[in-house]
Amino acid sequence: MASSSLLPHSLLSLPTASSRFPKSSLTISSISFSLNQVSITRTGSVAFQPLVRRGRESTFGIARAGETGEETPAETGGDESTTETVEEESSVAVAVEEKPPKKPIVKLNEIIGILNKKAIEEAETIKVVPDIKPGDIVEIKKEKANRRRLALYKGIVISKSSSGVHTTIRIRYMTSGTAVEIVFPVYSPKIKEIKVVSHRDVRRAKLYYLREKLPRFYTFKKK
Amino acid sequence: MAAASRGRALISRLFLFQSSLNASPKCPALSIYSRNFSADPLPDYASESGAGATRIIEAKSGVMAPDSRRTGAIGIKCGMTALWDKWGERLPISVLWLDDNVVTQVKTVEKEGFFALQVGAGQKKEKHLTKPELGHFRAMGVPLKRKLKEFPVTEDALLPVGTPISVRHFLPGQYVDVTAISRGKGFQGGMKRWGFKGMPASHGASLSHRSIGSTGQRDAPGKVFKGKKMPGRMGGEQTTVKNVWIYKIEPARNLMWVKGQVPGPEGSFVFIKDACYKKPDKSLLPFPTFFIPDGEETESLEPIVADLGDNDPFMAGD
Repeated sequence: MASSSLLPHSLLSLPTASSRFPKSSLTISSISFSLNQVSITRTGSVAFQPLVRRGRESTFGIARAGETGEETPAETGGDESTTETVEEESSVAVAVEEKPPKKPIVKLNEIIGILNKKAIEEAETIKVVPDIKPGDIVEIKKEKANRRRLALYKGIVISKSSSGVHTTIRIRYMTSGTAVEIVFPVYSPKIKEIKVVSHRDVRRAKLYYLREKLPRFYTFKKK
Repeated sequence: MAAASRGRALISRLFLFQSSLNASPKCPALSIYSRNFSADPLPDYASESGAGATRIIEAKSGVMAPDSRRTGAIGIKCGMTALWDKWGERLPISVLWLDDNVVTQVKTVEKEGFFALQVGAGQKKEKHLTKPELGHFRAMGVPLKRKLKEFPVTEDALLPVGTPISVRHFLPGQYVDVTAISRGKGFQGGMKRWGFKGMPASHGASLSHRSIGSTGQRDAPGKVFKGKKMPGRMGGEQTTVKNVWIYKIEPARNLMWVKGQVPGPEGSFVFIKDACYKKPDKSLLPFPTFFIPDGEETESLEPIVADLGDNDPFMAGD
């Protein structure tokens, strides 16, 4: 038998030629000639080509079998490896034509940033979030539990903490003789409307000094 | 010199003789390592392992028995964010990325004495691997992986080498146990490491506001017991967070959104298994793993979110 004459390790795959040929339905069949005869049949198709870039792989072919199974994988594997090496060694122009356009490489530390951007885009469909800076006097309409009417808050923004979709602003205002500071996550679905009413010139990013100031600096009349 | 080498040769021959005595159809491995003399007939491997049976593992779905256990997966912790679910409730979220999980080795009772699947994740260049590691991947016929982890399974949950394990192996809404090496905190004192209360800040307490205080009794026993909680290196060891709820999975990018915290810093490997306490519903889990049906374009699939029910928790009073 031709297959038994070949050494086992020559059949077996080396790194991920599958990533270079991102076909959606690719069956990989791997055969192990271990002496305990744990023989393994075909596996499922490869799911998803990962986003992170791989290193330069060697050009040895995988023992790739057709849908029918592994009749003579030795011969097909051998043939495919030679054709692949020929493809690799061909001119740059031919390689560029055959390879699909490279996907943009995504680094691990960019994943969270990308996910946050997507989440912000989704949140923007609920309401348009204006550009808010410390010193703005804003009106916020928020949905409350077990209430039909939206609650209204009007106060001065004393700080803004940017962290993607969980960007928060801290509002300070005075109601019935009590000073109140509330933190609102700007992209929360419970906040139905944010409107910048006016702006006060400040020379700080965080206006915590207002806590020691007279209440008239953070009292606003709700209309 | 000559005597010593003769002695060594004698010992090795005795060992081989003993191993050939011990060789039997049940453990063909030993007979393989014994010396074959030309007068003896050639060993027939096929018939020798006939008693052990050729195990064929197929990649097809099965039914999960009550005592079945399926594999876990290896993920990479990408970071944490917060999300709001469909009712508007805020969820703290950890994002895990199941990068290219592939079964790299199958361990069976015949050879290793137990059933387990070794899963590999990530990618690695050939020049960054040692020769033994490289030989292991070559022998199994799998791509080079960055992290290998073994998951004990039951016999019906075995998968063939090379099977990809995608994020759809888990269901949104199920609970999982997440194991990882926690963040290293360095050398820490008793208050941070063990939660000691320390001592008063004033009222005459001298030079010992954060110290551990007494370490034992007096003459009896006259020693400090082993295991006494004391300052030392904290963190950087394997920790398991149990009953972590999966909120959302994205099959196109193999991402998993999980509620709450997960041990370890960003970029570290986490090992995800089905929860042992809040067990998931066995009839709903893909067993032994999720096999992609023909014609399905994974990259065009939408993210799958856990089912949160029909009752708005914020309108509970009605």
